[in-house]
This record gives sequence, structure tokens and C-alpha cells, in this order.
Amino acid sequence: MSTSASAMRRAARNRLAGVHLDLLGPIISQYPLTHVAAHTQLFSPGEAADRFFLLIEGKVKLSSYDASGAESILHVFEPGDFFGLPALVGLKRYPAGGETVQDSSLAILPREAVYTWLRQSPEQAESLLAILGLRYLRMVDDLAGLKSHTPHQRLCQFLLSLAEATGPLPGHGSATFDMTLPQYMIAGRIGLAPENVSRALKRLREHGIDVRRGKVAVRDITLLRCLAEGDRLPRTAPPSQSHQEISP
Amino acid sequence: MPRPSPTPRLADSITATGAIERLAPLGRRLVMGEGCMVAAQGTPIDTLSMVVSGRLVTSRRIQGQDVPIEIIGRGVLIGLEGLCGAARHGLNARSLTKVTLDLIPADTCRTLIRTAPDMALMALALLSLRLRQCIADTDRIKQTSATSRTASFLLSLVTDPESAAGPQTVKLPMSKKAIAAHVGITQQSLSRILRHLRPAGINVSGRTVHIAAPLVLAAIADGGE
Repeated sequence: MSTSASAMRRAARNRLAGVHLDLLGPIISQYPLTHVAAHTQLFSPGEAADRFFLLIEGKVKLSSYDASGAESILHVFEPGDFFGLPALVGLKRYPAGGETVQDSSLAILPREAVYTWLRQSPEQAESLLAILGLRYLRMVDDLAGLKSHTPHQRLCQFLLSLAEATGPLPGHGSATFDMTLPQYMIAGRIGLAPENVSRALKRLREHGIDVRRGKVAVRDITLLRCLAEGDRLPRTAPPSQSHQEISP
Repeated sequence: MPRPSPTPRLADSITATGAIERLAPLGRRLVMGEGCMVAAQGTPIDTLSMVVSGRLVTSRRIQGQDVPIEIIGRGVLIGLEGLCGAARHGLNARSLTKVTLDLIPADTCRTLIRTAPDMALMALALLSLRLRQCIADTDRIKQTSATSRTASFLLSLVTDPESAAGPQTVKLPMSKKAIAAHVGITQQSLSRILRHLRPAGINVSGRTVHIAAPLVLAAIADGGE
């Protein structure tokens, strides 16, 4: 992914969080914020969908589970994201489970409040459809990535997305940034077993990408981009001219 | 959590039928043959296409590669994902069989969504079904083996798997290269898996697939290899 594309995505994401709050503000203000501790199950797969959530602070993972109980993380929601609406209006039951990853603050709205709001303000549905349409395409891109990229590429794309989330990246040269998710969550996100993530991270060291103690140090960001895009690696990595510290 | 079924759920069929009935009077009906482009990613959405019958494949172009996403059919409203946002198609859609579509002007849909609560809820419900299908497909690709996914794909070609306990002959709707990309494997892996499925009564000759016992294939799709 090009730097400009990622910058556009970040800008779109910031706008989106604002839009969600503007859009839903009138009904959210009628309900008190709920503060939830990390690792609290908000809803389970198959449970009747009777509430809708707007995440104000924290992180919530959306997961499914196979017959043995193994978890597959489908998405991690960030502040400004809403979730549960598709289940509420179309599906009747939650298709996956939602659990807080960190201490979080949420606005939780019952089904009837959402229905009444939509009946009274159908013009708002247009904005909701736009948001759901974007989310759908984001998930389509994830699915396309799973189908067409190797696990190694997906891991590099994930690391690059972490780096991009922290701010503008240098064109080349070194960078360090925080690893904001534990390895088991990365494994679920990119569709790899946790032990394979460990092995893949170790293998990345030979390309100058070192992940230790919650920090990622990249000797040359160009190399990470090449690995993420599946391009052939440059014969020699350009020497590091500068070192840019990226902090969240 | 039960594994997503390759056949549509009853509740989804009811939603689809309701949407077709609601939208049909607003548009004009069109029948297209196999291999026609119904939507092209990035082009403006002037009309939405409601699939009344037939099958299409959607794909998304990423990093210069056209990746098959989903095989869609009755009740899917093509273009809905971009109607109220970018106003451009987010996906390509190409017919795999003869298809019947109701073409509804995008402006008509937008006006109705803004003014009619039942229409707004219906559009949200239709897009929600797409989201759920995408979640189920993502889940399947992460959690099931390539053999199981291939079996699931072959099973989806059987028109009515519930009543089809006996032998079936179906036609592959896409090239093997496209099927491999859709299942998320290489073409070589697809050939290997199809060879491994022979003892289970699956025989592929060109684009024709003979399935001796769909129930055996269903067991493989469900993870019993």
C-alpha cells in the first residue's frame, strides 16, 4: 500500500470517528456511558441481538470460535466505531462475539431506541449506510488479503498498518513503534497459529525487523513495505540516513 | 458457533424476497447471459441491480490483482455498499449464469432511504447480510482447511443440497484458476485436493464435476476429512 493511500485511509478514519459521534450524538446523550473492564464479554455469537454499541474509549475485539473453542479475531474496534447495528436490524442474532481488550467506555443503546430513532429520522439511515458500506469494503479487503497474500505478507502488512497508525512514515530509513496488540491477537487477526506468529517474527529479524518487549524496530521501512506488498526485495537495502522515532 | 451453511438461511431468503418485491416496481427488468459485467469497481453507481435469479461472482482489485470475493445470487442488491458513500462501485460483479436483474435508479433508492423508514431499515438489513457473509467467509478461510473449503465450494454448486442425496453432475462456473483464487489456494493445491477427493466420489473432467454422494462431500466440508 502506498504512503498516500495510507494517509488517505487515516484521514478517512478520523473523519469517520467524528461522523459517528455527530450522527449518533442525539441518541447517545440519552444514555449514560458504561465503563467496562478489560476482557469483559459484551455479547456472544448466537445471542439475541438487542443492543447496539458505540465505543468511546478502549478497544473491543470481534471474534468467532470453532467447535474446539479456538478463537479467530475478525476485527478490533477502536474509539469512534459502532458495532451491533447489523445484528440489530438485519440478523436478529450476533454473528460473532465482542469482548473488551482494554478498559473501555461505551454507549449501549437498546434495540427500540435505535428503531424509534430511525423511524423518526430516516434521513440518518443514509449516513449509517455509508459507514456500513465502508466497513463492508474494509472487511472485503481483509478477506481478499487472506485469499491472495501469504501469511508472511499478512504479518508484514499488519506491522506496516501499526506503523502507519502512529503517523506519517518516512520514505525510507529506520522507524520504531509500539506493538499495541499481544501476539495471540495478532495471530487471530492475520489467521495464523500463535506459535507460527512467533516463528515468523523471528524470521523477520534477518530483514532488520525486530519485535521485542512491545516495540517494533525496523531498520528500513522500505523493506517492510516491499515485504508487505510481496515485491521482490531490493538487492541491498539503502543505508539508514535517518532514524525517526514514531510514538503513538 | 455453528459453521456457516453454504445455502442461504430461511430468514435471509425472507429478507431477500421482501426486498425484491419492494424494489421490483421501481425498476426495469433485464436478463443477461453468462460472462457479462454487471458492475465495475470504481465506476459511478447510476443504478443498483437487484439479483432476481442466477449467480454472479464479485471480485475486488487489490495491488493489481483481481481477487474473487463471493458468489452471490437472489436478493443481493449490487452497488448498495457504495450508494450512500463514495457513490462508486466497490466491487466488480460478473454473471456466472444467465441472470435476471431489476435495475433501480440510484437516485430513486437514495430518496426512498431518506424518506421511508421501512426502506431505510430494509437497506440496512440487506447490507448487514453482506457484512455477515463476509465475516463468515473470513472465518471459514481462517479456521477451515483448504480441502474443507474446496468441498464447501463444490457443494455450493449443487442447486438443492438438502434434497440432493443422490449423485449430482454440476458445471464449474469459473476457470480452475479463478476457483483456486476464490478458495484462497494456489491452482496446484486445487488440483492436488481434487485428486485427493476422488476416493470420496468427486470426479472432475474439464468443467464438469460428478459428485457421487453429496452427503459425503458435506461431511468433508464440515471438517471430516
